[in-house]
Amino acid sequence: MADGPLVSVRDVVKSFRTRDGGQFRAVDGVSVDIRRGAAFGLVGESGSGKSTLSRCILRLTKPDEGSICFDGRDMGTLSGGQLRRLRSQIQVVFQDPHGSLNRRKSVAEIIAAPLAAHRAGSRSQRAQRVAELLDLVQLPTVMTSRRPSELSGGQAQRVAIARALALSPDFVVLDEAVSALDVSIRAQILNLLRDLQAQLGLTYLFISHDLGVVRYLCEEIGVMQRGRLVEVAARDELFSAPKHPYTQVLLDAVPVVNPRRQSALTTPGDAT
Amino acid sequence: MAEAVIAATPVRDPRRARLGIPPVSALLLLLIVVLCVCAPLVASAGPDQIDPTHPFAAATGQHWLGTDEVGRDLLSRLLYGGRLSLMVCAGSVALAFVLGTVWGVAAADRGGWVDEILMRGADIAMAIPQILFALVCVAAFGASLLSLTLITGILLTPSSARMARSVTIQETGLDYYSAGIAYGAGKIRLLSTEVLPNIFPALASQAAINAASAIILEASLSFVGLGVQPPQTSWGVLLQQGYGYLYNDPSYALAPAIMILLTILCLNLVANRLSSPGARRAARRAARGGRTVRK
Amino acid sequence: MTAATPPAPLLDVRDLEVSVGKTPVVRSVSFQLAPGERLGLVGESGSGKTLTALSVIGLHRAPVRVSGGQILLNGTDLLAMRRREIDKVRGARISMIYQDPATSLDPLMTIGAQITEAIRLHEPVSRAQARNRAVELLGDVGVPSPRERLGAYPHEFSGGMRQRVMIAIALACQPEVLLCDEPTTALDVTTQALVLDLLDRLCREHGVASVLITHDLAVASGFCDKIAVMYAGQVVEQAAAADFFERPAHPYSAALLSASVDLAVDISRPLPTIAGQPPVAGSLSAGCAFRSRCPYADEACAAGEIELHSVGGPGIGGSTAGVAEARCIRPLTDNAFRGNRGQQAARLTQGVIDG
Repeated sequence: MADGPLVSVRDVVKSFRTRDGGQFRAVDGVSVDIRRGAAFGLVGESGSGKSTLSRCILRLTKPDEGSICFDGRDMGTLSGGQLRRLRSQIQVVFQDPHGSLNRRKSVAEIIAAPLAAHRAGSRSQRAQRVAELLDLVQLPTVMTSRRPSELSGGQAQRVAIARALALSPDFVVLDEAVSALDVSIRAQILNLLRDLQAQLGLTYLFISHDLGVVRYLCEEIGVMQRGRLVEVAARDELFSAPKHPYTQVLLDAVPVVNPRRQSALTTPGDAT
Repeated sequence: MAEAVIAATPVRDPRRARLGIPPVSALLLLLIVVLCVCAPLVASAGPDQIDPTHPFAAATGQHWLGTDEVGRDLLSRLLYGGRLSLMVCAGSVALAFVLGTVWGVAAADRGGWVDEILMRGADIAMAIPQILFALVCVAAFGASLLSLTLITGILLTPSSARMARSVTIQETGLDYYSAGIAYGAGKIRLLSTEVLPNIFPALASQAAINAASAIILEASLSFVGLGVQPPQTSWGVLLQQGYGYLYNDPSYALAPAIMILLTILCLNLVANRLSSPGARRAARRAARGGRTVRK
Repeated sequence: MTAATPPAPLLDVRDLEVSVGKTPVVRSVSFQLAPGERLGLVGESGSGKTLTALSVIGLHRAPVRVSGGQILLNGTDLLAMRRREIDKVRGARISMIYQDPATSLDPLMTIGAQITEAIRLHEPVSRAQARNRAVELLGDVGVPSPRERLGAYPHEFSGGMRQRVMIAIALACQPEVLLCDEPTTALDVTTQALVLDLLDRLCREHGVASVLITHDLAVASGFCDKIAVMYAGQVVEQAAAADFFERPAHPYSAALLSASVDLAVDISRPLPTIAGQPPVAGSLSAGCAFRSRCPYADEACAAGEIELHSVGGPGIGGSTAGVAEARCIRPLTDNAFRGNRGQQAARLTQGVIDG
């Protein structure tokens, strides 16, 4: 199975009942493959269905129609036990760094929680793994006894990343994982995510509304609009020659930090 | 570099910070409970020790609150009565806490039609007039301390269930719960080890409010003769007995009334106190001005 | 203040000090706003930018209090005013729009009622006149079929439309100064672009001066004439926007600029970052607040309080919108450094370890 896509989404539909009794198709017939070792970016505006799709892939919710295969296995056909075992290979990092950490637990407890849930290792082995993971996300070991309220946003997000890596997963879903962070911290976390991917051979599904960030991290990008995947393209292609008009609209709307730097980039040779 | 950064962030232990000086309400409540529980040590006479030569005695050094119609020491009766009142209260609150939490958490976790049925059930249960329900139950099972505790406990369960449901929904909506499901922790495990400790303050606060209701319920049921049966005594029983002598000896009825009032007041204040850490935390988070970036 | 400053400042904030309890969180912040001018107040969370704005409009609540300085609107000090006088200024001459339009509108009142209330609070007009104004305003901010929408409640609007309604309310009494606190952070990119365009047009048409508070340099870049960067409660750099983005003077500004990820960022290399974490309010010692994270810092930076002083010459492109000022003893614009800016950039990028 080593050469097939790691995640294969086929014709997934997920609808919700609206308050007035109608049906709202949050994800409307999406098919997409995520290559092993790739960072796949999913962009779109609020309500485009990108987070619902990711929740389907994480099996936090069941799709109404269609199938999602992980490593060649259809997640919909797995038994409860099989699914729980499979979950160790699929991890997630959410947007709100503090909401995704239980405020009553210490950093060590939080990072070790997935190990405990899968009964992996003895107490001392887990402690050692926590130390390794902290090192991996570049946090000092004194952090182990801290509570989430004592962490800054960036530190909390590093802890969430460490927890996601605890079971050595193949696949990590990053759902707006850097959106709530400050500019300077965001850059640190983006670099970290990139390093980790190279170091551990991870496959990412990176969900974001921020095209600049997606461009930095992902080599393949899908654009969602109203529940549909309107365009999937390689990074260079998407940013230089978008095919779908909506992609163009999105690109045009991204503000640039320095208009001069932008023009220097698009017309090479014109050094300002 | 990293060390310097660590040094810059103040180290606070949230567990330690939360324990301050206990509020007056909690201390007063503790005092009432201790006095009642230790009634045999505190009271000068047994609650049933009659002294027909001194009915309706005024307060003296020997009888701090005077005596009743057959010369029993009122203070002793008040404290011994408090024992029963508090016992019924504690038993019923514990029952409501356990049943209500299971009920509410189940409704929140299952969602959909299960939630619908469980919560409509709670609505219906809350709509039944309490005294009427008690009347029917007493008629069916007889009036005993146990049945009084059970009836009160059952009456309080729906409100506990509602509280448990709403805070569980709030808590399971947070990302740490989703992350837990995603890394393969079982639901039971997540609910018991991660969610329950977080919703405990809210549940405890509801329990304190319930305790106040339990005191009132016991008193009203005993007052109308459906609760504690003489010769056993409780605040409700004392209130009923004193009521007959309201004009001759107002302190007779007033004493249990004041005890009931004080206990309820303290319980409500404690409930307030218990519920506020969460609210305070939320306020602090809002004040910190975290950006909400929509997904 | 020099006599040469051509237009008298409309809003003149001088040495504003704000504290939470006893902890100073805004320290000696000064800025001026000429009529129609746009200032971008840029900084990361906790830098004090929102508290600065809230104190200017007098909406801060205990335990936040203004502990010093002056806020002059057309020469009158708002801080010396009594409560009732401030109420007259707020909404009428200075108004504010917030990050989250969902929580800043009253969910139980119709949009029409909220706008007419804002108008009638400050102007003696009849209900019907106010209603007509409201329709006009809603049309102005691009709400389709405004007359019909007057009876709608906030939840019937999308996020972008709600923010438009907020803008309509803020502009209802034709204020002179509009404070915008992260007005587009909660919005989608495409909506953000539309709302920024709208703000741009309205400010120009009504001649409103504005302060845009944002963490997003790209948003400030497209909207503002002047940028003030805040760090740890201080303005560390203030310059005309064109100069600022081309040639930031303070190392923090430069680092912030290079850490911003937009579509032009070089993806072949790791992003330049700023080491460590911003300092916690109250834990600051004398000297430059940024020095623990600054690749150029040495003992001299810790020596004492550094004042905001002018750096470099007049702006490039003959701009006279203001001389760049920075709180730094070794500004990047300094001639002594200018020779090897490439090296500096490399240093900025390299000298960073993650905190």
